[in-house]
Amino acid sequence: MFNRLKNQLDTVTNAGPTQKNAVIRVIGDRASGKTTYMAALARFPHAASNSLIQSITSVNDDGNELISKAQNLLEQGLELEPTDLTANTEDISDYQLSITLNGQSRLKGAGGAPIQLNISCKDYAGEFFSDLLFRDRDPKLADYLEDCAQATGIMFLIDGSAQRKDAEYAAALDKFLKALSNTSQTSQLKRIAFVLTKCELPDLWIKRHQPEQLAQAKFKQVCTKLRAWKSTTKGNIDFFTTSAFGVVGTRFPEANSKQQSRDRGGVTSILQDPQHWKPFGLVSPIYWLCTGDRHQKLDEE
Amino acid sequence: MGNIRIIGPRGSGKTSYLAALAYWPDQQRRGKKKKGVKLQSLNDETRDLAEKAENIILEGESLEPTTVEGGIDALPFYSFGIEVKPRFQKPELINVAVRDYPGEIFEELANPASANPLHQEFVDECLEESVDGCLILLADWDKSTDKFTSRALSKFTKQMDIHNRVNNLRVAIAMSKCERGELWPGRLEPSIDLFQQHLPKTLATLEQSISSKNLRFYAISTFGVLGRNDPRPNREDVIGTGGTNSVLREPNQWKPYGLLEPLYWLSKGKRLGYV
Amino acid sequence: MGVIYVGDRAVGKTHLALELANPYGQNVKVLQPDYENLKSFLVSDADSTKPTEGIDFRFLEIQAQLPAGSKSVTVDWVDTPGEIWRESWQKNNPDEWQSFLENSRKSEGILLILNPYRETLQGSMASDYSTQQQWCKRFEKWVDFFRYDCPKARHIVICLNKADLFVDNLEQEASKLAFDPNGSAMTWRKRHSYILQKYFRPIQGQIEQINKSTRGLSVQCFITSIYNRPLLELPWIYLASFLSKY
Repeated sequence: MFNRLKNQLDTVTNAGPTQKNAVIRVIGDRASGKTTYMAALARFPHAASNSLIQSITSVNDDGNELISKAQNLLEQGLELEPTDLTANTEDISDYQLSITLNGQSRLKGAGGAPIQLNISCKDYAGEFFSDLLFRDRDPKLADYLEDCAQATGIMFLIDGSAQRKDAEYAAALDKFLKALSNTSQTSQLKRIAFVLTKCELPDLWIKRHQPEQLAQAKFKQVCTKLRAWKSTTKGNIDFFTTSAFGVVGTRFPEANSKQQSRDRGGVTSILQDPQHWKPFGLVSPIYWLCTGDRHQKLDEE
Repeated sequence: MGNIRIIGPRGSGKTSYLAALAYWPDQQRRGKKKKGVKLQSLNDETRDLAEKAENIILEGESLEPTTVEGGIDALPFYSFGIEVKPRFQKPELINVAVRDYPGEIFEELANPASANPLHQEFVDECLEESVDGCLILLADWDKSTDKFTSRALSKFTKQMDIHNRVNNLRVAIAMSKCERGELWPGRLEPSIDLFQQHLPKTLATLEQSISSKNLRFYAISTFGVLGRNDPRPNREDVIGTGGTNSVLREPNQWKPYGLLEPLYWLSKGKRLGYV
Repeated sequence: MGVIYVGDRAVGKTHLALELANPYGQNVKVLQPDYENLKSFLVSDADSTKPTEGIDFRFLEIQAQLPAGSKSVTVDWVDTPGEIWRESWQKNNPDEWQSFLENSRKSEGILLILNPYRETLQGSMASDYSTQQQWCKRFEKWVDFFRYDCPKARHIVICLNKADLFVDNLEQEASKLAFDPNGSAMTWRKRHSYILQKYFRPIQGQIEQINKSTRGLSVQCFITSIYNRPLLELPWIYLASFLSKY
C-alpha cells in the first residue's frame, strides 16, 4: 500500500512543470537598459514557434505594467522614462513573471519535463548605482540595501558600449558588494549575472557567443571585482550578452534599433521595426539565476 | 566575424575605401564582375556612406574628412555583411564592424610631444581586446614619409604592447591608391615591391615588433585601372567642391582592386581564396 | 503623474477641451467635466465683465485608448493671463501666483497651448495675433519657467493651435500625422521632427537644445485644431502613453 501511495505522489509531482524560483534585483548605471530589458522580457514579442521558451506571463500588476510600457512606448518608438529613485523601498515596482520553458530543457533531474521559472524582480533606478551607493549616511541607502539583501540573484546590467566607464563601474560594484555583506540580514545572494545589454550593435553582435571574452575585453576591472567576490564568498558569477531590441534579418542581421545618442555612458536607442521585434538572450541570465545552469539553446535565442 | 579598426594619415583614403565597399553592391547589381563575393551594408551609417559614395566617386564631390572634433562618440560605426563563395565550397558569411579614425590620430603618434588624452581614447578603443584586426592605410612613399610612418608605427606597436595585443592582433598594412603608375605593377607582391622598395624603415619597424603570422601587406586601389590591357588609372582629377579631387574616369569600367582581401584576413586570419 | 494644461487666455484651450468632449471621438474621451459644464466655461470666458487679470484653475479628466488598453489622465487646467511673467502682476496677485507655482512644481506633464504668430496668418484677423518676435519672446519665458520652476517636469507637449488658419490642406496633413495603434503610421519621433521643422522654425533650435541637454525631459510638438479630430487627439494619446495604469 505504501508503494502505491508513493507512486501516486510521484505521479502528482510529475504532472506539472518543474518549478524554479528566484528573487532578483537588477542594478546598473542610468540608461543601461534595465527597465527596457524587463519590459521586453514581459512582452515577449514574436516568439519563434520552435523556441525553447513556451510563454512568459506576468503574475502581478507591476508585471502587467511592463507589458503596457512595451506596447505604448517601446513599440511606438519612444524611450522609457528613467526609473525614479523612490522615497520608500516599498514603492519600488516588483515585477513578478513566470517563464515556461518546454521540455527540451535538459535540466538535471527534470527528465525532459517543462520548467517554470518564477521570478520576483525589482529594477533599481540607475541613481542607486551611480549616486546613492556613495552617500553612506543617506538612510535611503540602508533601506535599499536591506531590500536588496532579500535577493537570491543579482543581474548587473552594463551597456556594452560603455567600456570607458570600466573603472567607475568597478568602484561602484565594489562598494555595492561590500555594503551588501554588511547589512543586518544575512544575504541570500548566490549568484551574480554580469549582463551586457544593447548587443544588437554591430561590434557587440559579432561577439555575442563569447560573452565572457567580450566582458573581459571591455570591462576588465569589473570582471576582476566579480571574480574576487566569487572566490571570497563562494558565490557564483557568469556572463551574458543580451539585446532588448534584437536584430532583423537572418542571413545578414541588422540591429533593430535606431541610435538617439552616444556618449561615455553608452548608447541610447529606440526600437526601429516593432513588426519584427525579437529580443535576444533575455531569458538566459534568468535561467542561470534560477537553476545555476546554462542552456546552450537558450544562449542562442 | 570581425571587429576591425582602420587608421592612417589624413588623405590616405580610409573613408573613400569604406565608401567604395559600401557602394560596391550597387555596382554589382549593374552586372559588374566579382561573382563569388557579395557585400551588403548593414546599418544606416553604411548606407549613408554608400549614397555619398555615388557622388564622390562618380562626380567628384569631396568627402568630408573624418575629424576628432566630435570626439570618439561622433565617429560612425560601419557594418558590412560579406558572403564569400569559394569554388567547390560552401558559402561563408562574415559580419564586419569597422570604425575608421581621423588622420590626426595616426599623425600624432609620430609626434613625440603629443599627449592629448582625448586622442588616447581613440587609441585605447582601437586596441581593445575585442578588436580582431587593424588596417593601416598609407598613401605616400617618399623618404620623409617613410621616416614619419616608421615613427608613428613604432609608437603604435608600443601601444599594442601596453594593451597586450602584440601576439593576438592582426595588422594589415595597405598601400592605397595603388592605381598610380609607379605602384600598379608592384601590387602583386606588395611586401617586396611596394614596402621593401619604397618604405623600408616602416617595414623594418613592423617586422621587428609583430610576428609574421599577424602581419600582412596589401595593395588597394579604390578606383582601379581602365582595363586588363590598359593599366592607366581609372581616375581623373576634377575641380570639385573642396579643391582638386579624383573621380572615376570610366564609371562603366570601375574595377576596384584589393578591397576585400585585407578585411577578410583581418576577420578570419586566413587568405581569401575565390574565383 | 500630475499634468497641467496651460496657455494664455484666448489661445483656445476651452474650445479644444469642448471639442475633445465631442462624443464622436475616436481614441480620446473627456470623462469630466461633462459637456454642459464645459460649455458654461465658454460663456464665462466670453464674459467681458469678468476680470481678466486672475488665473483660472479648473480640471479635466481624459481617457485615451492606447495599444495596451485605455488610460485615464487627470489634468490641472490653468488659464494664465498674458501678464503673468511680469513682476508687477506677480506682486499684485501673490496668492494666484503661488498657486500657479505650486501646481507647476508637482507636474510631470505639461501641455502648453500656443497661438500661431501673425506672419503665418492671412487676412485682417492676423493683426490680432502677436508677431513672430513677440511669439518667440513669450515662448522663451515659458521654457525658462519649465526648466527652472518645474523640477519634476518630464514631458512638455507644445500644441500650436488653430492649425486651420495656417495649414494649407489640413485634412491631408492630418492623415500624414494620424495615430494608428497598429503601428503603420509615422513614429512619434518622425511626427515631432516633421512638425518641428515645418511649423516651429523660429524656435526649432531651442527645442532641439532642450531635448538634447536634459536627460529625462523631452519636448514633443504638435499642431491642433478643433476642426480636425485626429490632430486634436494626438497630444493626449502621447501624454497618456507615459502614465502608469495602476
